[in-house]
Formats: sequence, structure tokens, C-alpha cells
Amino acid sequence: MSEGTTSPALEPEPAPLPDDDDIHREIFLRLPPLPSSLPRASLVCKRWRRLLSDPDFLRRFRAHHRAPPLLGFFADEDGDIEFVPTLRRPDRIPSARFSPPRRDGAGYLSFLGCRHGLALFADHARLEAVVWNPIAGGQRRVPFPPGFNGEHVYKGAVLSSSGDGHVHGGGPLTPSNWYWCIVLPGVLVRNQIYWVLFGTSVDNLEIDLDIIEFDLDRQSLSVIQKPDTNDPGLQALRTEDNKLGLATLSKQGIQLWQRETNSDGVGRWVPLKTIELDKLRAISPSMRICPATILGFDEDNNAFFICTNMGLYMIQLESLQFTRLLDGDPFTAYYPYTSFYGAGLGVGGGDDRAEVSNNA
Amino acid sequence: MASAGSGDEKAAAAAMITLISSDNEKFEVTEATATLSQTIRHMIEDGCTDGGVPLPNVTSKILARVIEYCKKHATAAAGEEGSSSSFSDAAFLEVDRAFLEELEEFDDAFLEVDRATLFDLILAANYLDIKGLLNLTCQKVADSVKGKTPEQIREMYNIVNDLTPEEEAEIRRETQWAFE
Repeated sequence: MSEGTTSPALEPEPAPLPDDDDIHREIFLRLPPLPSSLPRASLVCKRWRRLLSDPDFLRRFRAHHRAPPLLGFFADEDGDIEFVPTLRRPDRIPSARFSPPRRDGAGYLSFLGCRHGLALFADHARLEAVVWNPIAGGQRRVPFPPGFNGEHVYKGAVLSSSGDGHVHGGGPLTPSNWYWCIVLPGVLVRNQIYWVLFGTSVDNLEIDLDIIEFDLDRQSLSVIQKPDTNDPGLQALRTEDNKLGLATLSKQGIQLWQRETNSDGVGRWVPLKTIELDKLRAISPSMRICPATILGFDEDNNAFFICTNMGLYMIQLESLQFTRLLDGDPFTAYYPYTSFYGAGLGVGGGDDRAEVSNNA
Repeated sequence: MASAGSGDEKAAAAAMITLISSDNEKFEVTEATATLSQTIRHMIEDGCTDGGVPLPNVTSKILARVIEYCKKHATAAAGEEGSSSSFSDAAFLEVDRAFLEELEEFDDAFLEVDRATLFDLILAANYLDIKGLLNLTCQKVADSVKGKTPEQIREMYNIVNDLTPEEEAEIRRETQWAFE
């Protein structure tokens, strides 16, 4: 309103943009996929606002950029969920912007992970999966399938394809005298989700790790043996070749593996790369860096996250570039959250329609 | 690509097309150059390019620039096809890389135009349906807006703020952090 009245006296009028909605859209599509981009542009004028808040445009924007940016982490400290932003201003979304579903009464709500802009919780008291869209704010509750005991739901996965949200859940597998549980969010590779399975024998003398595969097409589960190593900290990931990979922690650093399958369908683990954490020391030469845990894998940007005594780092799988994200607290679980941020209300990653399918 | 109309190999190799600008200037270009434009490609496929292709929306000044872009990128496309058959050869990869760098330099230099010309190029790329050129020019405008406040964007592109104070307040309320 105020700008129009104070025109620069000597400079010629700047050329106006072509009076054409299609051309405006073509330009807007190429704005950076950062969260402040579209809200800022939508404040320019009515036309920009109208074009930018059109859901069809947002679909194209997401398709054009493919990988949504990492907005931050959801930190889960004993069930208290808080968003911790990792971007700088003006893309730094404050914690208060996202209000996670709250546990009601004595009920215990556990965070299971994020994918496609949605987050998934298990409500153990009401035996429901809760799918939450942090940006749009909506949530949807889906009852656990019959036969699921609330205490035994450890992991689930949420995924959204073409606007549909799906929830897949898994309970414990209890062969003989072992207890099994899944401790990290799963990774989607092609059409399979992989979780690392953590098992202890009843007498607690043995600990074993394996990988569980859930085939979304065939709706079937199978178990894959881990590589022949005693290194802890298994994290499933997707390698550059779009294959199942694995990261393990060793004294030297992080060992990456890739699953190769021969023509007979027999798979084996092949060492891929070793990431030396000495590289981190370049940032702070006087301190020794001890990796504590691998936090998860960002499928969209091909990066994984580790928590060390020096803070929380992101490691790019292709370039092996380290980025320090935040201080981090070793007693908190962190879940990476990536999403696009649109202009106007109710625009974000996936939508919050959900359904349950379970074959565990 | 040989035109669908002419089966004669020799004709296809050297097929020339005449493009006519809005101010009636004629430009002779090879079919390989012209068919970077999907609009012209379809015209060739439909066999309606005899006597030249009139382009009433494009001035000679802009058409000359568009042709300059298409010539360069048509050569690039031909080069890519040629080297892909022997992609295992490291020397070819090196040539490819050098060529891509050269192409990038060309694109950067190509974009050194005033804003009015840039917008005319966008309109021509859109009308002629030349994907690479549309991407290049629109990206340039998008980049110019990057990190700017709404006030700065309006000033840059001479846009009048016609949002009501209520609308403006609503946007700011929803995404206050984006304006801090």
C-alpha cells in the first residue's frame, strides 16, 4: 500500500512481469523449497497470493523440487515431544508452531517416526495409531488391528503416496525364548520398508540384531541377517544405487554396507565405505568425538544423522559431508522431519487420511 | 530428427526452416535447431511449415536471441547423443564435462540482459514451448526474488500491493516467523 506512492524520481519504471498466470506459476515453481519462500511471496499482492495458495500449484511445486528440506527434528524426551528447528532465519520455524497431539490422562503416546511430511504416534491407552500432519495441524486416529496389544506396538511406518496416508504397524515377533523389538524408524527402499530388529535372549546373555523387511506390494514380512560384524548401532538406509544399505558404528567411525542380490536371489552384505569420524575433529581438534547413536535416515535427501558427544550431525551419503545441526542431548530421541511449506493454511507434506494395514 | 513429412535422408540432414518474426524478418534455421521448440516440432509433423513459420508473438530482436540459444543447445544435444554410445571411454566423459561447462557459461552469458528482454524471452520460450529456455529464464527471475521481503519484491517488479490490511494481517499471523 505505502510503496506505490513513493516512486523513485529519476530511474525509469522497472519492467512489469508478463501479465500471464502461467508464467507467474513457472517462476514460482522455481522458488527455493525453503519454508519462508511461499509465505513471503504470497504477501506481495492478491494475484501472487491466489496462485500460490492453489493446491494444484503446491502439488507441482513438490513434484518440481522432489526432495523436501529438513526442517528440524522432533525431540522425544520421555514422551514430551518438541520440535527443534535446524534452519536459519527466516526459514526457522519456531517450536511453538507445531503442537503435537498430547497424551490424555494416564495414556502414553509414543513417537514412531516421520515420513512424507507426516508423523506417527502410538496411543497405547486407546490402542490407536495417531497420524499427525504437523504443518496442516490435522490428526487422524486409526485403531490398531484386532489382536494388537497396546504394549506390544513398538514400531510403525507412515507413508503418503498420491495424497493417501497409510499406516503400517508391527508388533513383536517372539520366536522361542527371545524378545525382539524395533528401536529405530524404518527406511523405505523401492517398495519395501526395512526396520532394524533388536533382540535379547530371555536370560539377557545374548544380544542380536537383524533386519526385518516388509514388502508393501506383497504385504509380507521377512527377516534379513545382519552383516557378519559385532559393531553396534545398526541403521538401515537407502544407498545411491537405490538398494538396501546399513550403517554400523565401529571404533574407526561408521561403516556403510550395501545389500547385493545375485541372479538366484541370494543376498549378501558388501562393505561400501568407511566414514572416519576423524574428519569431524577438523572442526574441533582438541576434542575427541565419540559417536553415541545413529538417529535415523532422511530418505529424501540421502543423509543420515548421528548423535555424538559433540552434538548432532548430518552426514550426506554421497559426499560424506558432515553438517553440525544442534547440540543434542544423549537422553533424547530425535526424529528428522522433512517437509515443504506452502502458503496459506492446511498446506504441507502429505494429508492426514490414513488407513491401517497389518501383517505382522 | 528427420521430419515426418520428408523421407529423403539427404533432405532430412540439411532440412532448413524459415521462421518469420512479428516484424516480418526471416530467419533460416536447421530443423534440429527449430525442433527444440515443441510448437514448431508439431508444425513440422503436421507438415505446415512450407513458406515459412510466422511467429506473430515474437519480435526479430527476441527471435534472434531464441535462435542463438537453440543453435547452441541443439549442438549440445547432438553431441550428447554421439558420445553416449561410448560412455565407458574416459576421454569422452572428459569432453562431455568440458562441453557441459561451456554450455553453462553460454547460459550465464545469455542471461546478461535487461529485465524487459528477459521477460520477452520468457514469453517467447513459453509460446514456442522450449523447455530448457523457459527453465533458464524463469529460474533467473525466481533467483532474483530469493531471500527478498515482500516490499523489496514489489519494488523490484513494480507491483502494487492490492491486499487488504486484513488479508495481509492474516498471512503474517499464519507465518509470522517467515517475516522476522
